[in-house]
Amino acid sequence: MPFASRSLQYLLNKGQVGYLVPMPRVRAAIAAPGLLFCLAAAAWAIVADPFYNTRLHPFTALQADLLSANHFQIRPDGSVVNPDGQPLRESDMPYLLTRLQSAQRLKALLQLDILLNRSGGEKRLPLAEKNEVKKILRENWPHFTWSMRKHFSGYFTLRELEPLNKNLPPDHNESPLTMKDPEIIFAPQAAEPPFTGPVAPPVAAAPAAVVATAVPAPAIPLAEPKPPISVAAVAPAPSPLAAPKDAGVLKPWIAADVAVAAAVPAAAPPGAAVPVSASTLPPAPPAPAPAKAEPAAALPPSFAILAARETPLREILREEFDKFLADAPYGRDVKALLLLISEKAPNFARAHALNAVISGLPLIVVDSSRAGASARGALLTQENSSGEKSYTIAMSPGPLLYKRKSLFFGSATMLLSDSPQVYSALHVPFPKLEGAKRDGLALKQQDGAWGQARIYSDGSERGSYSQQQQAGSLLRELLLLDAKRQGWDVSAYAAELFAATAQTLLYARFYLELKNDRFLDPELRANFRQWLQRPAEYRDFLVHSLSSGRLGILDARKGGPESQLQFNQEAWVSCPQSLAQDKSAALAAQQDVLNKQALSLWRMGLLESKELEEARKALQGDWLSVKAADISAESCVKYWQSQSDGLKQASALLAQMTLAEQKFREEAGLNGANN
Amino acid sequence: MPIIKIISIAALLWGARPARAQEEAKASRYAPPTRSFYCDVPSGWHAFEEEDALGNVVHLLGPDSPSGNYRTGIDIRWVEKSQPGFRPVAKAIDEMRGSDPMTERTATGARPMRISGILSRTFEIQETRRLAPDSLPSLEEELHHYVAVIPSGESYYVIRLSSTRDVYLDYRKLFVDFLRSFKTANFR
Repeated sequence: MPFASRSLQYLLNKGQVGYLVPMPRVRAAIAAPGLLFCLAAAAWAIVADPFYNTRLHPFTALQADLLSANHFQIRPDGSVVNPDGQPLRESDMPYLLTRLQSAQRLKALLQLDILLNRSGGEKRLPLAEKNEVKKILRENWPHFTWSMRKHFSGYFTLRELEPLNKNLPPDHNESPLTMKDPEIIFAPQAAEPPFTGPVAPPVAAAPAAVVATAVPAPAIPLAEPKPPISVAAVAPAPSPLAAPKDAGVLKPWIAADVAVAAAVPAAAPPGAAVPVSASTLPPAPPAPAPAKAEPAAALPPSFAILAARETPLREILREEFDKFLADAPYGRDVKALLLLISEKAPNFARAHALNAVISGLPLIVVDSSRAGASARGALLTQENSSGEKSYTIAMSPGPLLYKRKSLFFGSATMLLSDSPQVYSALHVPFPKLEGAKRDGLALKQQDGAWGQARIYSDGSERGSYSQQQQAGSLLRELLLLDAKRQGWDVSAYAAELFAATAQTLLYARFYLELKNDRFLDPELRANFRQWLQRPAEYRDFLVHSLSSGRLGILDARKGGPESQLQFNQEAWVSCPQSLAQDKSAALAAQQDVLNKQALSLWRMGLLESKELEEARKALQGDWLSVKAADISAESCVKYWQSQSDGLKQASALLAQMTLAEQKFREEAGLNGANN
Repeated sequence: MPIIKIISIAALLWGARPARAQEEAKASRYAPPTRSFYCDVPSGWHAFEEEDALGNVVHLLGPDSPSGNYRTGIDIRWVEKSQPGFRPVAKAIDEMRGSDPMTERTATGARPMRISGILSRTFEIQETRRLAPDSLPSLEEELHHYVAVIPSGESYYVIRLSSTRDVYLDYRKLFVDFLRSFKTANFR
C-alpha cells in the first residue's frame, strides 16, 4: 500500500488520532511550520494569480466575441470558463487571447488561400470572388497584423478603409514601437564599392515595401535608405481645416523615415481616418544613429531630393471641403472647378488632390501665358531665398490655333503657346499672330471643334475649353503637385500615369452622365475614345509619347517604378560614375526637349531654316555653360538610395490606380475591346 | 589560277563573316520577369515590363522619331481568357482593324504567318494623332503600327510595333526578325 495512503489512513483512523497527542512536542514543532508553509503557499497562489474576473478587468467587444466564438463562457459572476468547464486565471488570459487571435488569423488566411486557389489568382479575381474576399477581410480585419492589413488594404477604397481602421483596438497585438521591419541589404554585386567611408548600417526604420494586391513586391534586396539630404522644411500654409498643431514650425531635422512615421498619429485630426499609405505607416523604431543633415550644396540643385514630408494624407469629406472652399482665396471659376473635382474625382485620387489644395494652398490662375508650353495646365514651383516653396497652377482657358493650308487639299491645325518665355528660351522670335497678342482684337466668335473660338484677321483663333475638361486638367495638376510634395514624383512616369488616369476616369464619369464626349477638345476626345474602346492601345500610346524626346517624362532606360528600382540598384554599385552619367543623360534630355520644340516650330512653317539653325546653336551654347558639379561617391549612394521610398510609394499608388480602373470599367460596363 | 580564285572568294567570305557576326551579336535575348516568352531585343532598345488594368505588357522602347514626338517601340501584351473585357481572338482582330474617321484610322487585311510554330495573323494600322500630347507646339502626325496576333489556346499575344509613318518602312525587317525570334514559354 502506498506510503501516502497508509499515512492518510493512519491519520484518519480515529484510534490513531490519539497518536498525535502523545507525539513529542519537537516533532509537532517541526511539522507545524511545514503545514503552515503549505497553506501559505496555496493562499499566495490564489492571491498572486487569482481567477479572472471580468468585473475587475472587462473584455473589449472584440475579445468577448473571440472568446465566445471559441466556446469560452463568460459567467454572470465575472468568471471565465474554458470549454472544459475550468475557470481561467489571470495569467492564462494574455496568452489565451494571443493564441485565439493567431488561430483566427490563420483561419482567415486559409479561407483566402482556398478562395484564391479556386480562382485564377489574386490578380484575376472576378467580382463575386472579390466580394467574398472582402467579406472575409472585413470579418477578420481587427485580428490581422499591421503588415497584413497593409497588404490587403488594396481591396478597399479609402472610404471603406475608414470604418475598418476605426474599429481597431488601441493596443492591438503588435505594438508599433516594437515592430521591426526586416533588414534588407543593398548587396553589391561587382567589386567592392569605390568608397570606404563609414556607412550607417541599413537600419530597419523605414516601412516595408508598400505593395497593393495587383502588383507583386519586387524581389530585389534593397538597403534601407540613409536619411536623405533634406531641403529646408516647407512651412505648410495655414488651413481652416484641421491643420496639424505644429504647422509652420520648423522641426529639427531627423531621418525622413522616422519623420514620416512620427507625423502620422499626431497630425491627423481626431476621428479622421488615416488611410493606409506609405506616408501613414505606424511609427518605426528610432534609428540608432540619426545622420546629420549634410549640406545639399554637394549636389547640384537639379538633384535636390525629397523634401520633408508634408502633412499625412487623409480622406476629406465633401462638407469639409465645401466649407474650406467658402473661405479659400480662389476665384469663382476656380472654385467651381474644385467643386467638380470634389464631387466627381475618382476615389483613389480624390484624397491626394484635395490634400494638395488644402495643405499646399497653391495659387490657381487662369492664364494661358503662364501655362507656358503646356496645352491645358502647368504646375509652377517657386522657391524663395530661405528655401520655402510655393506652387502655382496656371490653367489655360483655351488653345491658340494656327491653320496652315496644304498645297492642294485641307489644312493642318497647330496649337501654339502664347508665352513669350517659351520662345525666348528657344531663342526664336515670338510668332507674329494676332491671336497670340494679349490685346489682339477678334473679328468674330463662332463655335467650332475647339469650343467657342475667337477668330482674328490673320486666320489665327483662340479656342476655349469646357468647364468639365478644365476640371480634369486641374485634377491632373493637383495630383502632380501631390506627387511633388509627397515625394513620389521620383518616377515622373508614375506620377504622370496616375494623374492622367485620374483625369480620364473623371472624364468617364462626365461621359456617363452627359452621354456624350463633346465637352472634350478634339485631342482629348481622340485619347478618351481610344481609352474607352481600345484601352491597351491607349496605354501603349501613352508610353510611346511620354518617352519621346519632346516630353522626356519616361526614361526608356529606367522604365516604370519597379524597373527603376532595379536600375537604381545597379547604379548604386557603380557610384559615382553612374550618377555622373545619369546627370549627363538628364541634361541631354532637357536639351533635346527644347531642340525638338524648335524643330516642331520649323515643321509648322513658323521658323525659317536659318532661324532654326541659330536657335540650335544658341541652345547648345546654353547647355555648355551649365557646369557639372563634383559628385562624391557618398552623395551618389545617398542619391540612389533616397529614391527608394518614393519609387515604392509610386509603385503602390500605380497598383491602387490599376485596381480602381479595373473596378470602374467593370461597374460602368466599359470593358471595350482589349486591343 | 583556280587556287587564286578560291583564295579570293574565301577572303571575301571571311571579310563578310565578322559583319554578320556583329549583326547577330547586336540583339540580346530577353525574357520578362514573368518568363512568359523569349525574344531578341534589338541593340540599343530598352525593355521593361509593367502591369496595367488589362494585364501584363512588355514595352521595348527604341529610337525617337525624327520629329521627336513619338518613340518607336514594340509592345507585347498577353491577353488572357480570364481578364475582364476579354474578346476572342477573331473578334479582337476585327475590332483592331476597325476604322475610325476621327483619327483617320485604317487597316490592311490580316495575313497568316507562322510565328513560334503557331499560325498567327499580321496586319498594319495607320492613324493620325496630335503630338506631343498636352504639350505646345503640337500638330497632327501619322502613326503606323505593325500588329501580330499569336493565339495560345483561347488566350493570345498581341505584338505591336509602333512608329511614326515617315519611318515605318525602316522597321519592317526588324519587326519580321523580331517575330521570328519570339518564342512562347511552352514552345517546343
